[in-house]
Amino acid sequence: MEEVTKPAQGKRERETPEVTGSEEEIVKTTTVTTTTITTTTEIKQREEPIKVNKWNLSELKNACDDHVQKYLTTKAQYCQHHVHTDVKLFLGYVSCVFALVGGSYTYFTPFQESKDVTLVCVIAYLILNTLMVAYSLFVEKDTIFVGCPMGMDKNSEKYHKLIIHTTTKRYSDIYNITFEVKHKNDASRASSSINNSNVYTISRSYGGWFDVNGVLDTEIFEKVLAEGIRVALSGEKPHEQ
Amino acid sequence: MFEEELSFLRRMTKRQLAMQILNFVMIISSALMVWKGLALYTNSESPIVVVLSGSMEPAFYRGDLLFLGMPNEPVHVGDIVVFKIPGRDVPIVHRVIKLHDERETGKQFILTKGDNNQVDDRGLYNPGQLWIHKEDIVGKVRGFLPHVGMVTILMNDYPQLKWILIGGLGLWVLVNRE
Repeated sequence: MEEVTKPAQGKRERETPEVTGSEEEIVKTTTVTTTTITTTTEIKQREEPIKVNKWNLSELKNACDDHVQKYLTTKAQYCQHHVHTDVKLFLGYVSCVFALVGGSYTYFTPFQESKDVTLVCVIAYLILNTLMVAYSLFVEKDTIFVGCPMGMDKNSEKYHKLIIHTTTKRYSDIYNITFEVKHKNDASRASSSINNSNVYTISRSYGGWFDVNGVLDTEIFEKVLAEGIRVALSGEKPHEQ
Repeated sequence: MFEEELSFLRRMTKRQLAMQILNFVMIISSALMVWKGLALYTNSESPIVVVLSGSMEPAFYRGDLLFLGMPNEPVHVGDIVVFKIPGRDVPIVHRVIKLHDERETGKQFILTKGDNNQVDDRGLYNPGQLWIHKEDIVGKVRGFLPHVGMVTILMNDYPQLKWILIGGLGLWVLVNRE
C-alpha cells in the first residue's frame, strides 16, 4: 500500500511545483474517499499522459496492463497480491547468486580443484532457471493482477479475490481482458471444493481508448474496467460483448 | 536523447524495476554459466582462445578462434597445445616436438616449438626451465574458426569499445519490456 500512494504524490510535486492551496485540498480528498467519476478528471490533468507507439502491439498491451494495475490499486481500492512476481524475483535472484559464486570461485582457485563447485553451481542455475520459466508458463500464465478489496473484513460476505488475465492475439488489435472473481465460501471444508468463481471477459479493440497519437484515454479505459468488475462481482452473464 | 527511457524508468514500481534489473543480470549470468559449463564439458580452463601472434603460421593466423579440450590421456608428439608458463598470464599455442616420460611416475617432460619460429620454446620458458609438464597445459587444440577472434583482439586493444558495447546492451535491456 505504501508504494501506491508515495509515487503518485511525489510525481505530482515534481510536475506541478506551484500547487495552490485549493488544489491541494482536492488532491487530499480524492486519496481518502472512494472514487467518483468527477474526481478522476481533476487527477488526470495533473498526471503525465501515457503515450505509446500505437503501432507496437506489445507496447499497447503493456501500457494497458500497467494501467489496470494502477487503477485497481488506487481508484478501485484493491490491495495487490504480488505472489507471482515475488516468486519469480526470488528464483531469479537466487539463481544469480549461484552464478556469481560459480563464476568467482574459479577466479580464486585453480581449475582442477574448483571443478566440483562449478558443476554444482551450473546445475543449480539450470534447475532454478527452468523452475522460473515453468512457473511463469504454467502457474502465472497470463495473469496480470491478483488482489483483494482494501480494508474489508476477511469474513464478510462481500470479501473476494479478483484475478485479471489479459491476452492479445498475435496480429490482432483486440484486447481480451478476463475478470475472475472468487468468493470465499463458509469456513467448512466440505464446500470448499466448489470453486464459486465468476468469470467475465471483455474483448475490445485498443482503438477504443488510444487516440491517434497513441495517448491512452484513462477515463474511457477505466469505465470499461469498472464495468467489467461490476459484472464479474454481481455474477450476471450479460449478452455477447 | 534518453529522456523517454529515463521517464519510463522513473514511472516503474519497485518490483518492476527489480524485474528489469533481474533481466539484465540474468543475461550476464547465463553467459557466464554457459562459459563455465563449456569449460567443465571440455575439461579445459579456457575452452575457447584467440591466437594473438603469427608463430603458428601457416596453420593458425592472428585472429583465429581455437576450440580446446583436455582429455585424460597423455600428450603426444605433434599435438598442438595451449600452455601457460608458470608465473605468466598469457597462454601460448605451439606444437609439441619432444617428449620424455619418467618411467615410474609417468610424469611427462614436454618441449614445444612454434611452427613459424626458428628455435624451440626454451627461450620463452622461465630461466633455468627446460621442459613444461602436463599441469601447465590448458588444453589441446581440437578445432578452429578463422578470423572470428579479431573481434576480441579489437576489444582488447580498444577497451572503450568494450564498455560502449556493454553499456549500450545494459541500457537497452533495462528499458525494454519484453
